[in-house]
Amino acid sequence: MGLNLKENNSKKRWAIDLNGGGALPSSSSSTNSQNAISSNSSNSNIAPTGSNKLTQQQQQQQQMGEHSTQQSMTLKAKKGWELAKSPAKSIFMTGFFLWMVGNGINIFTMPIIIYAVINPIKAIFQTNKMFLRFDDLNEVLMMKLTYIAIQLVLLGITLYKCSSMGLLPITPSDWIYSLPIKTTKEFSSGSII
Amino acid sequence: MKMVSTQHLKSLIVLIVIFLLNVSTVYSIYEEEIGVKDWRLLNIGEFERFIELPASENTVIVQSRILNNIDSKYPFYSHILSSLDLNTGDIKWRQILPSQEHSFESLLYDDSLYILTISGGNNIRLWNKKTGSLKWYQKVQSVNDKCEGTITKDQVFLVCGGRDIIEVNKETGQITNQYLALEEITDKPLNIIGNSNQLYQINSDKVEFYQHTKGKKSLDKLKSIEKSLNEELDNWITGTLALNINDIIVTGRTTVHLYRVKQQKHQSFEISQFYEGGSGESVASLSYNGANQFQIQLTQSRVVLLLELSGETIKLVQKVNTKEEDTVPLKVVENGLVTRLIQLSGKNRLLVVSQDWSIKLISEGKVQWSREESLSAILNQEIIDYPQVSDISKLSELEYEFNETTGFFTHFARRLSTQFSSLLHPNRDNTPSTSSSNSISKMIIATTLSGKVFGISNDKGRVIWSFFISNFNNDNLKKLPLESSRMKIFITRKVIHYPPEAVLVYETLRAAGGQKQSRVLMHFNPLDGKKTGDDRIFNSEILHVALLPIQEDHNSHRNLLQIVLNYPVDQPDQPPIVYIHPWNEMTRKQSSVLKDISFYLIKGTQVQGYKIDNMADGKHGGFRPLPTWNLQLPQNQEIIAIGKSNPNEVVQAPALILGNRNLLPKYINRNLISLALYEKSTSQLVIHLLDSVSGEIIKSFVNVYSSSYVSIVHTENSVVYSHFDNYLHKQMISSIDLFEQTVKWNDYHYTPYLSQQEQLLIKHKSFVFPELISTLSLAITPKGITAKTILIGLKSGQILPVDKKFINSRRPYPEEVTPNDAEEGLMPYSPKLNFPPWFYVTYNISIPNLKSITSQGTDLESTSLVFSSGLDLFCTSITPSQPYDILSDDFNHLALILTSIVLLILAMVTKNLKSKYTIDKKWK
Repeated sequence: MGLNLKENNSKKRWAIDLNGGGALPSSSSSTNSQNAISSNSSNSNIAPTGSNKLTQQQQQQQQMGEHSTQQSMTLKAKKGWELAKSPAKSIFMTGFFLWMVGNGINIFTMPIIIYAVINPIKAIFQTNKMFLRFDDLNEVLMMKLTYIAIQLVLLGITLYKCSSMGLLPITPSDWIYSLPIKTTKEFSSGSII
Repeated sequence: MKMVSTQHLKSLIVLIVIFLLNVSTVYSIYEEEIGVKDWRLLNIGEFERFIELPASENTVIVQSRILNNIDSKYPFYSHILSSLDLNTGDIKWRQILPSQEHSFESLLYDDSLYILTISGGNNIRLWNKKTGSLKWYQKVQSVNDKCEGTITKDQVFLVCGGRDIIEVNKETGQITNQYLALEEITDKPLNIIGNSNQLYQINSDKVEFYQHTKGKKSLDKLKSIEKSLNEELDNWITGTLALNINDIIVTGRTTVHLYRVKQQKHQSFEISQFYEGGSGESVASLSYNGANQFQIQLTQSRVVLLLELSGETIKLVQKVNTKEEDTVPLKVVENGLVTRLIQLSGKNRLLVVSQDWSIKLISEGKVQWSREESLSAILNQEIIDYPQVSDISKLSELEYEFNETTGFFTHFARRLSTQFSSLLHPNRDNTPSTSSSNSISKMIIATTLSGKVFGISNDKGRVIWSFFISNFNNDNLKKLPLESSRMKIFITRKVIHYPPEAVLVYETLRAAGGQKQSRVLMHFNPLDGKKTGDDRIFNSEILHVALLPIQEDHNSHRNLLQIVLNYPVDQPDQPPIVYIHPWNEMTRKQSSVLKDISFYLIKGTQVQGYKIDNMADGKHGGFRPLPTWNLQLPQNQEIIAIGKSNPNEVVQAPALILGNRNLLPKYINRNLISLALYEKSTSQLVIHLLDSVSGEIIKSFVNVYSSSYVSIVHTENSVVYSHFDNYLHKQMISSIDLFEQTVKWNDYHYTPYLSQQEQLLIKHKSFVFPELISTLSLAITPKGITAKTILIGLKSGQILPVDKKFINSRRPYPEEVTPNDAEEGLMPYSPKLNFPPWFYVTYNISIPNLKSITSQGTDLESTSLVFSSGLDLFCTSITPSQPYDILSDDFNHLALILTSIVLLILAMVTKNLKSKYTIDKKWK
């Protein structure tokens, strides 16, 4: 997660460069962006002279910009999908953990089970926030759905574990107290005479 | 140095002595447990005969009897020999003769160490009088195996069948001489005179005397005397006995005749001479009490006269039950009439046996001790809660505070004073439960065969109250197994904040004046045995009585009784009349609910079901029932037992949880009854499960090669029965479990069983039980959470509580066990049941002739009170699934309290420290 945020910041700086019109090779390092700003200011100093070459240059720049926007969108989408699929990596680990804790209910297994239940639910509720910066992408909905689906799979694994531990009231025996104790309306007694 | 060694030696000796003392006290593993949670009341049964040992021994040997198999159609007596301490009335030893010996002929003593008994006609036994141990046993063969005997210094001399003379060696029990004394068969038998080798024979015209000489093969004729009785008197002879060779006593209708053989004298004494105003009384019986004493019992008022032959005359020693004041301090109301009166040697001591079977020793006009022997034949019992002292005192305090005070301040002052006085005198009330150390406090109410009703406390088995119904009809033994002839108790009000109420139902004797028998409903308070209202009397025979689960109204908490009367008398086509008791305005409003009441009557092999229908007697609450069903069982079968559900049982779980966590609903139909039928010719036992409302047979099970003794108990959805398999020669115990096919979540009531509508899942399995079973019962707990436990009463007189999971028809065969069965905890089936000896609640003691076991829940769910009766009474509390709601005895209360106090102090200290720390921090 932390890694993603870092990338995000560097991309933002890169976006400022784009608005300034300077065509710069994409860079993620901060030193490069510093250079980019300085070069940008030098470009603006040149700009007021005005010429056809300049418009050509601008056109070229525009073309290059369109190209890079496309590129960046693809990149963004790639990143988005990466984010959407990221919880899948932990399926195996969660499964392994849950398998290892056994079916006993005790003070050690309970926190694991509780986290395994709470985390996917929390993640599902935070989906919109997570995919906020991909809102401009067309596939964002698909990404969100994928993300939710994987979280549900995780939750499913945990619930299966809960059911095998007998924590889920899904069997008739869990509802025995709502089963009425049947009585007889009639009363009968008798004797040998 | 020497000093030291002697000191060492001394301390060593002291240690050894202490060790030996400890070793000698601990001789049984049960020794420290017996009597802690239980009590036992030892009885000897109904008094029959006695011998008094020499005065120095202060002992009487008593022969008594008990009725075996009260519940069977063929009850019989078995006999008991016991030794009673005359100072305390305690039993020194007690021997129960084999139950197949139904008669007891003689009890003899010869001033030596031994006592001779003849029982069952020809079983001769010599007992040690001090220990009660058997010296030898001999069975003699003679013409009709009816023997009487005498015991001399070196031999036992017997007359069997009235003419067979047998000599037995006293030391070894070997027969040394045997011959036929009378050639011809005669209905005038030879009788032995006292403790001698002389005999007499009463013929129609004369009395003949003979003597037997040791080793000789014939009798010597001593003398014969003509009976100078006229014809009229002869017809009225009520008894003859020879006190010795010289004196014969004959009782006529109103006269006692004394024949002095030596002097050839005949004297006669009018009975009225001994008893003023009794000229019209006739003699009922004459019996010999030993030491020249004989007892005369008169018919009408049952006056008992104890007469003594002294010198030339007959002297009156004691008389009781006379119209004038008794010479013996006895309350006839309490104990009924005196039936036996025995003058013991020295100190003017009288042994008095009364109609209620009580035995009293009266010494110098005071009752020294008394034994309530009627407790040896309990007919019926109920257990009720005795209100705790706190309940009673709280109630009275509240009443006092709220009813008798006016104004706030006086009320407050009263509150303070009562609180203060309760602090000062915690045990003000002198009620029985104050002395009880444990929380269980109950009252056992029992009716007995003699007609006496008892209230016994459950803590130590003390008789709190008793009353005697002198006219209870217990004459017809064959009718005893029938419900109608039994004395029954119904607890009509159980709630704790009201005084409880009970109803006693019994049949009276046919009065002498030819009056009809009546059936009485008597109301009494089961806590003190006092009458609470007028009796209700019915002139018709009571066929059936039941306590209905319907209350009179919500305020009274009184349950209604249903009484079925044989009216019109013996008309099979007419249904009997049903009375609802009590019948008043409040019960009249409930008459619509009464339409749900059914009952059945079993007559021979016919079972007839009825349902309460139209009112027939609006004034007294009489209803005419409607015959609903009829079941005619095969004529060659006989109903030997009926099983019903226990109304005190509480059901907690309506279904079983299976291993796969599915539910298996139990079929808990309270109207299900089980009938055990026996076919003698084929030794076949048939168990029918029957719905007693619809009359449909749900299922039948057949056991071939069975004996006819069956005991049945119902618990929840199960029927457990025991029978003896004659082919395998094994005691069997079987379980039938009934389940419904589907779980019905919204069904609240069972409908009467109809085979077309309902399909049940019925399972049956039998197990071999290691001992003979005499009775089965159920351990009751207040909420029904504790595992169901069957109480098995054994023939050996012990009680074994067995968890129902052992006797379970769902136990799978070992090769068919599934993981689900294992998950459910079902034990694989094994035909043999075995239980370790420490499972017995009776430890190593036994209750002879164990007949019934009753159980009741206590304040604690884990604990049940078990009361069992046979010859003795035994009461204990059991914890079938361990005492899970009680702290164990070794629980360290002090540690708990100390830890709590320390934690509290620490919490307070740290709280202060923390607040100080925060303030300090803020100042910085």
